[in-house]
Amino acid sequence: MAESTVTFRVFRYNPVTDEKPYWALYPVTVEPGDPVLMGLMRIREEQDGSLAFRASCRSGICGSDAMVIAGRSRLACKTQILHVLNAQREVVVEPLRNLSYVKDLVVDQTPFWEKFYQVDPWLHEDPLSKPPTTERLMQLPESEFDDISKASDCIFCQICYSECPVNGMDRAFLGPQALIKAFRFEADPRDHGTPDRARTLNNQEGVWKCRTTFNCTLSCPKGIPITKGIQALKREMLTVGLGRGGGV
Amino acid sequence: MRQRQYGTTGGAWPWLLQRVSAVFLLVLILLHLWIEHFMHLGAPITFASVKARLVHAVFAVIDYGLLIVVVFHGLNGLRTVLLEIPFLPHRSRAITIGLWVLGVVTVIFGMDILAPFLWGRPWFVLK
Amino acid sequence: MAEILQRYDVIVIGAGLAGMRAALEVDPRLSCAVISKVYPVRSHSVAAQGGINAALDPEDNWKDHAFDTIKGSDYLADQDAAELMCEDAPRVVYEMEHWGTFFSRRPDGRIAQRSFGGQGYPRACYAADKTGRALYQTLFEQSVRRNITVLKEFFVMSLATVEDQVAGVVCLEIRTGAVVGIAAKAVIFATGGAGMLYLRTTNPYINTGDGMAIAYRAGVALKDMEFVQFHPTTLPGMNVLITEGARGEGAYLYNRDHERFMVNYAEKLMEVAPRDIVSRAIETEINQGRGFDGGYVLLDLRHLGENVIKHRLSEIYDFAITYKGINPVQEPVPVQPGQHYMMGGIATNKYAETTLVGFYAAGECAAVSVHGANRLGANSLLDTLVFGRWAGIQASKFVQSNPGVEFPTEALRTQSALIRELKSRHGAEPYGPIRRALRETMTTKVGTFRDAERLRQALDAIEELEERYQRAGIHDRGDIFNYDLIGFIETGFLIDLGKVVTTGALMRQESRGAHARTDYPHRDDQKFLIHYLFSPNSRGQLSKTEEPVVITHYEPKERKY
Repeated sequence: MAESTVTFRVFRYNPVTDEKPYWALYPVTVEPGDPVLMGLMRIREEQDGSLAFRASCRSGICGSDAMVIAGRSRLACKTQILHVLNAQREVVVEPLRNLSYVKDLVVDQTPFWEKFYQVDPWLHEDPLSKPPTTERLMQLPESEFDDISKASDCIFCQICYSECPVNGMDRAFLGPQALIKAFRFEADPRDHGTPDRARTLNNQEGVWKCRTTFNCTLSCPKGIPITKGIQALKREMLTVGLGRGGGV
Repeated sequence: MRQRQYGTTGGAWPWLLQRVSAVFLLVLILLHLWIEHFMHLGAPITFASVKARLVHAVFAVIDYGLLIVVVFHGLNGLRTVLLEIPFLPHRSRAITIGLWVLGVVTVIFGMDILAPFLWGRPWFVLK
Repeated sequence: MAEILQRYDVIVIGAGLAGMRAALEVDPRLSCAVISKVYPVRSHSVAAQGGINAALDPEDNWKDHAFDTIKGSDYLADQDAAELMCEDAPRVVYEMEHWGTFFSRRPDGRIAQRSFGGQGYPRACYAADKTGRALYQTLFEQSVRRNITVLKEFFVMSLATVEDQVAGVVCLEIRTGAVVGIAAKAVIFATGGAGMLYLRTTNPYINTGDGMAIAYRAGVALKDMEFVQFHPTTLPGMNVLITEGARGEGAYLYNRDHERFMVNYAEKLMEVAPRDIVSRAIETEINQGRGFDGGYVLLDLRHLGENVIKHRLSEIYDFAITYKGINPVQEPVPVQPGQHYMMGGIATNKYAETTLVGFYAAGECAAVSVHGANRLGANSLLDTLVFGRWAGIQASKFVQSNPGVEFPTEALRTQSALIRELKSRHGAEPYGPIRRALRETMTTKVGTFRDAERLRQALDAIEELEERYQRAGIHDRGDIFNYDLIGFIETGFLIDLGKVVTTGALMRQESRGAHARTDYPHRDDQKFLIHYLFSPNSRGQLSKTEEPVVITHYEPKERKY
């Protein structure tokens, strides 16, 4: 296979030793098909052990290695190096946006998780009926089943959070990930959590803040139609919100 | 560990009414343009012709309706834009009240301008 | 470098399926924390694709499931444990469904089940080809609901013990670099596998066998370590897993001559024979020149149709396109075997208890043993949920009747001294080349097919690497997010485990399950129907003990499919 050398231009910052962030350049030999993560691993193991980034599964299912590559938030393990080179044959790698960077490519994920917790992300049983003791049947039309199945594909990679312009402007906005998670339960016929979740969803910082820019849908590495899910939540919250007469 | 966030609950009404008013706006603007410019194509617009038209309730409703819907849609949109600005969301109540006052005053002012055509004289402001 | 001490009644190391299930079972009146070196959802449990076995169907029977499991294990599984697991399986699946797992369904609304390798009945319940993720997210959601404390990005370095009782763990807080002692009356290990021992592996970077090595260093025996599972179908290159569910749905394996070669290896079950058999078949085809250049064969899904591929195998559809640029609807997918699972691990009984008082283990890091010499597909998710729960139950019981022992602060000092010393080394070799050499050695010499000569070479090579490792050092001398330091320590764990795996493989002079010796091609129940247990002796060398295999109802027979 045709090997070639490219340059990794990596955002570096160590809060203890560096006054401000800087770019570090690393030459890396690559083969066609090599993902960005492989390049970063080679840098860490062979050139500079102090480069900090998170990574685990290498196959786009654990969501650890989201970062900004060539200007867009992507998974380093699902992005091929040769697809994201600029005119100088450089791969530009930066930490995610909308979350503060801590060291190199590592960001502080706390706000992201806090928002996820706020949507009560678990299946709420029917408070009026006893839990089933045997198999519970569930029949769903294929399209509804696919909607929930797609929504539960979320791997918590934070790419949508990083790409959402509303999150960038308004730190209080729940963000696409928390909303699509809420949708996953709201769409589930077994769930009875709407009254609990409505407090955060039917909220100025909840579904109503979404401006349908579709950045989340476009950037999601699992191809989840996030905006579609949020729109469905808006329709649902409309009945909740109007029923309660939520103030203008 | 988990805290409820600080945004105000609600938001369904402004969101819905913005869309409803948009639909009205579309219909009313088209009607308005048709009436003003195409219904009597070529005829000059005079005080008398406008007056003659406005005594029909249908036309009056269209113009007053347009006034209210335009003001609501515009200010509700403005509210959304203002709340988008960081640091402002926690002032949402003051912003909302302010905009309501502004809207009501604007509508009254607009009605006052239309009044001479219907009753022969303005109500109060433009005496 | 700060030193801190925290206290809990029960701590669980590892936030994957087994760990989370254990934590959910710990009596809520006890204080409990889950410790994980990554954020919870990053655990490798989420990568499991195919399914979870349970005899749900009225036509099916848990005893048949147990038999299949035992036969699949090449009769090395402890039969009482396998029976316990299989009998509990339907309850486990129903419980997960009640908690919210979004299983695929049959038209009548029941949970869908598919065929899986070595199973006499289609009993793998699945959520498309992302069953692990569906199950894990459910447990994670339950942990959020119950407000379970998770210490995220805490890297456990050692067990603290007082005589024969556990006192807690010493860990590194990755965010700050602080060495933190966590005192606990009971410690549950659920730290997963050690796939990083091999170059070709479906495992993530984080699966470095930490728990196994830490337990081993603390004197707890490792069992059945010579049995390493190679998954037959991984994508050449990154070795991303292609689920067995693909073959369960009916996909074919072809060699270069367009022959469904499995007919020569498992006439009846063909592609859905157990993993050890299919992996060996593929390796044999490749070794005998019937593979493709680059060492692979083809997995053909095309006849399954676009609908099945895109709905029930959606992840691997995505993988094939992303990593190989191949659309499985139109083209067959190249596959080769890759390391997938460690059958061996921390020796436990069927209630997750170990020989160290107050110390429990569950999931892949433990060897109960229910998988024996070869694990059947869709049994590992079940294993984590069954024995994770038992670990939680037993740890709670233990704490309620035992005051625990005082945390030995020297354990904390030892680890921080070690780190200080490491950071003061200058001009030393980095761990990277050592780790790569270890992984290469394991892949070429302790892989699917083994023989005495290559195993001895491997052992020599590992000992040499160990010496190099003693002198190696790190690049990053900082405290925060020092992944260099973590990688270095992990490499030490891997070297220990590599030695145990290779030694076990050398001593077991027979072929059984995943352990195939070309110099001893047959199973030898006379001599080797036993578990090997390895622990370090006082001089730090391996010492071997043996344990009989528990036989209840199923007499060892020749294994044919």
